Amino acid sequence: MGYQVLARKWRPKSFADMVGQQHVVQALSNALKQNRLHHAYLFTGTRGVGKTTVARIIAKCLNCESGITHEPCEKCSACTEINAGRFIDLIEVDAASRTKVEDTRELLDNVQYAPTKGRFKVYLIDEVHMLSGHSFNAVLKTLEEPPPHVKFLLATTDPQKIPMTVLSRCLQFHLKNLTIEQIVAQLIYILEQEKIVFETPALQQLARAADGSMRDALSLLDQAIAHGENQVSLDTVRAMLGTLAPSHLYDIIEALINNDAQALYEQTQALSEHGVDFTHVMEELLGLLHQMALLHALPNLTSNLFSDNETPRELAKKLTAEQLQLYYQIAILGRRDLSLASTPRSGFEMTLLRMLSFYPEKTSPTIHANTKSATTEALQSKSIPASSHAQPHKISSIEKPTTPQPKTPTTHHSESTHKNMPTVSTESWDTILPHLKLTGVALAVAQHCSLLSLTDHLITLQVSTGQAPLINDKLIARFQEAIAHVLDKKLRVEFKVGTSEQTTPAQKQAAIQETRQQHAESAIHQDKNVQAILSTFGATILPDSVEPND
Amino acid sequence: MIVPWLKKTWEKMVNTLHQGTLPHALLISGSAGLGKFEFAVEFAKKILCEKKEPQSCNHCHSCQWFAANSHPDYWLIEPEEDKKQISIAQIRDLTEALGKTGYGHYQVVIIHPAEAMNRAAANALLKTLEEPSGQVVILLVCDRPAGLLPTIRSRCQEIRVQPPSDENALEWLTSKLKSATPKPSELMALADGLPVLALHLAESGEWEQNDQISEDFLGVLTGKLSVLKAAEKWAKQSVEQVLTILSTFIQDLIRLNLGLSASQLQHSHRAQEMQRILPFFSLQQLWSFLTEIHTAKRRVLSTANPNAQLLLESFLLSLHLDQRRK
Repeated sequence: MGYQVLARKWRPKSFADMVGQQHVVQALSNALKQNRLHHAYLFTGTRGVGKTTVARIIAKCLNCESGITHEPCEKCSACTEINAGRFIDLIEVDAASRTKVEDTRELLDNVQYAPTKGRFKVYLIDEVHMLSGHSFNAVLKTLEEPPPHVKFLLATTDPQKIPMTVLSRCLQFHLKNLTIEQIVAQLIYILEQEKIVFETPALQQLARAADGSMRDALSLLDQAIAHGENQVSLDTVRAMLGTLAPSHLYDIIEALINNDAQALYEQTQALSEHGVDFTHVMEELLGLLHQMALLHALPNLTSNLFSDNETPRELAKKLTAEQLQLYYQIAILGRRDLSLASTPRSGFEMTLLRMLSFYPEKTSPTIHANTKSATTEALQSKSIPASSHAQPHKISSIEKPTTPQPKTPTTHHSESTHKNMPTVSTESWDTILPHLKLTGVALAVAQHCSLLSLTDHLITLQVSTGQAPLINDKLIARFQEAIAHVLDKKLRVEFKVGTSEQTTPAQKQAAIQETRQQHAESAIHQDKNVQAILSTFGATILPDSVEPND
Repeated sequence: MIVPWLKKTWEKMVNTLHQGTLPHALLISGSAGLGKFEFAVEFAKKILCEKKEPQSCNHCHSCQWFAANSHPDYWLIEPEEDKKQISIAQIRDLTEALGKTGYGHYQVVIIHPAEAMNRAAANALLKTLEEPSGQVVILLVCDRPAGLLPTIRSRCQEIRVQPPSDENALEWLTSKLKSATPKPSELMALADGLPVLALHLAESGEWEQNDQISEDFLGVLTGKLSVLKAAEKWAKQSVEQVLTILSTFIQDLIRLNLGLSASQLQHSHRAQEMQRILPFFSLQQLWSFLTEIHTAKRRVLSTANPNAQLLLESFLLSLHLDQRRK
C-alpha cells in the first residue's frame, strides 16, 4: 500500500481511541457488556465526527472471536480482517451510489442467509440519506424484524432526509461536533507519534478552520505538513488557510463610509491577489454587516458569537441603521447575482460599488412624507464628488422585485401622527383613512365607509348594504384600535347600514379612474396618427384595450 | 507547459509524489482562467509516467498512451456534451472501473469542474473519495469551492491556486501571444486579470467577436445602430456570452461614473468612447441596465430556453425606453 492520509491512518480502531462522543461510546459499551443490542442503529452528525468509525468498531465488537465485547481483541482473524476492510460478513454499502430500489432488493435478498464466518452479518449502510423513496420503503420490513443474525448500522450527515418510518425503527445516536480543545489534543497526539515538529497556536488555527470536524482537521493538517515541509508552523498555516483577516473587511466598510470608490477597487484587487474565494468573502461581509447592525441596535451587546466586537462597534457608529440595512440588502442581492457576474471578482466589486451608489432617504418626520409608499421615494443615488457626471437622482428602485426598504421605526409614526392630526371634521374620513394602516378586509370596508358623526366618545360610520355582512366584532375592534392610534383617544365605533349621501373613498377613486379612462380614450381617438391609421387601413379601436398611462 | 505561477506548486507536488506521500484526494481550487485544469492534466500524466523525473518523460508507454488519449488508468470526468452537470451515472461508472486493477502503479481521475457534480453525483463519490481501493489519486478541479458539498471538501487536501501578480501575468501572456494586436494589457483587463483566459480569448478569436459586440452596443447606445439590427446580429452567437460582454460594458460605465480611472476598466481601450457617452446616462440608469442584464441572463440560464433574438430585443428596447423617458 502507498501513502495513507492521516485521516485514514489514524481512524480510531477501538472505542478507547475515539475522541469525544462519550455519550455514544458509553451507551454502546454498556449495551455490548449487557448484551442488550438493538438490531438497527442510526448514526448522525456532521462530516468527519466519527459515524462510520463507530459503526466499524461495533462490527468488530460483535464479531470478535473472543465473544461479544466492548473491547475487541484486535488479534483474531475477524478483528484484523475488519481493520483491513475485507471481512466477509461486514457488508459496507455505499448508499449514495446504490440508490435504486433494485440495488436495495439485491442487498435484502441475501439477508436471510446465515453469516459465513462471523457471529453476525453486519450491514453498514453509509450516506443513507441518498437512498430513493422506494429503497427506503423496500427496507422497512426487514429493518423492523431482521433475522437474529443480522445487524443494521446506518450512517448519514443528513437525518432530515430519512423518512419517519425508518427513523422509528432505528436507535438513533447523534454525534456531536468536536470542540477546538478536543481537536487540538488529538492533533498534538498524532504529530508526536508521527515525529513532526509543530507550533501549538498553528494547531489552534487548524482546529478553528476545521469547524468541529476531525477529518477536516486532519486533511488540513496533512496539507499543512506538505506545505511546511514536515513541520507545522503558524506562518505556513496562516498562509495556507488564506485566512481572510477581518481587517480587510473593516477597510472595505471604512471605504464605504468615506465614499471612496478608488479604495474599494484597490481592496478588491488586493483580495484577488490573495487568491480568496469571493463567494466566501461575500458571506463574511454579510456576517460583518449583520454584526454591525446588531451592535447598532444594541450598543452594549457583548456576545462571544463574534471574535471581535470593538472595531465593528466603532464602524457601526458612523453609519445609520437604514444605511446598514441597505448595505445588507445589497449584499444579499449581490450574493444571489454573483453567479451571473462575468467573474466572481467583478461581481463582488460591483456589489461594493452599488453600496456606494445608493443611500436611504432620510425618513421625514411628518406623516405626509410617509403616505406615499416608502418604496418609490426611499432611495436616492448619492452625488459623488469625484465624478463630474454623477448627479443626484431620485431612484425609483434598485431592483424591481425585491427593493430594499429601510424600515421607519413605528414609534416615529405615532408621535408625528399626533402632531399632524389635530382636528377631524366629518369630511375628513378621506384624510384619516391612509393613516389608519388597515389591511385586507378592514381596508376594503373602510374604503366603502363615510363618516356620519364624530364626538368625543363615538364615531359613527355609514356603510353600504353590500359591505354590511363583513362587519363583525373583530373588525370593529380593529377599527377602534386603528382610530385610537391615529386620534390618540379611545372611541367607540358604530356602523350604520344604508346608502350614504357622502361619497366614500372608494367611490371617489372610481370616479377619478373613470375620468382618466375617458381622457385616455378621447386622447386616442383624437390622435392624428391614430386617425390616419384608422382611415388608411380601415382599422378599429378595441374599446377595452385603451388604458390610462401613468 | 506548466505556467510560471504554478511552477512552485508543481515542484512541491512532484516531490510528494516521489516521496510517496501523495494524498489520494486533491482539490485544486482558484479562479477560472488560471490554468488549473491544464495543471491537473499535466500532473496526472506525471503521476502515471514510469520514470522518476521532475517532468513527464514523454517516452515511456504510459506517456505515449497518455498522449494518444488512451491511457487505461486515467479517467477524465467532465459534463457530457450539451450538459451542464456531471451525472450520477458517470460517477457510478467511475467507481466501478476504479475497483478493478489497472495497468500500472497508479490510477488517476480528474473531475472537472468538480462543482458541476449534481447532489446525487457528489454523494455517490463520497465513499470512493474517502477510501478508494488501490492506488488511486482523485484530482478535483474547482473554480468555486463554496459550491462543493462540505462532505466532499472534508475529504480532500486543497491546493489553492493564487493568481500571479499583474506584471508576471502580463509577461507570460506577451510571451505566448503570436501577434501584437490586441495589446496584451487590454486582453488582461478584458479577462479580469486571469492570464489563461486572456490567452484563450486571443487564440480562439473570441476577442474580436467580443469587441464587435461592444462596438455594436456603443452603436445602440448612441442611436447609430437600430435595436432590432443589433438583436438580430447578436442572436447568432451565444446569448450568455453577449450578455456577459454587455454587463462588463455597463460595469465599466458605472466605474467611470464613480470616478475610477480608464486603466481600471475591463474595456480599457474603449475608455474614450465611453467617456463621451457617459454624460447621457445617469448612475441610476446604469444600475437599472445592469439589473436588466442580470434578469435576462437568469432567463437564459434557467431551463426555460427562451428565444434568443426576442430576449435580446426586449432587453434592448427596455434600455431604449428608459433612455427616452429621461
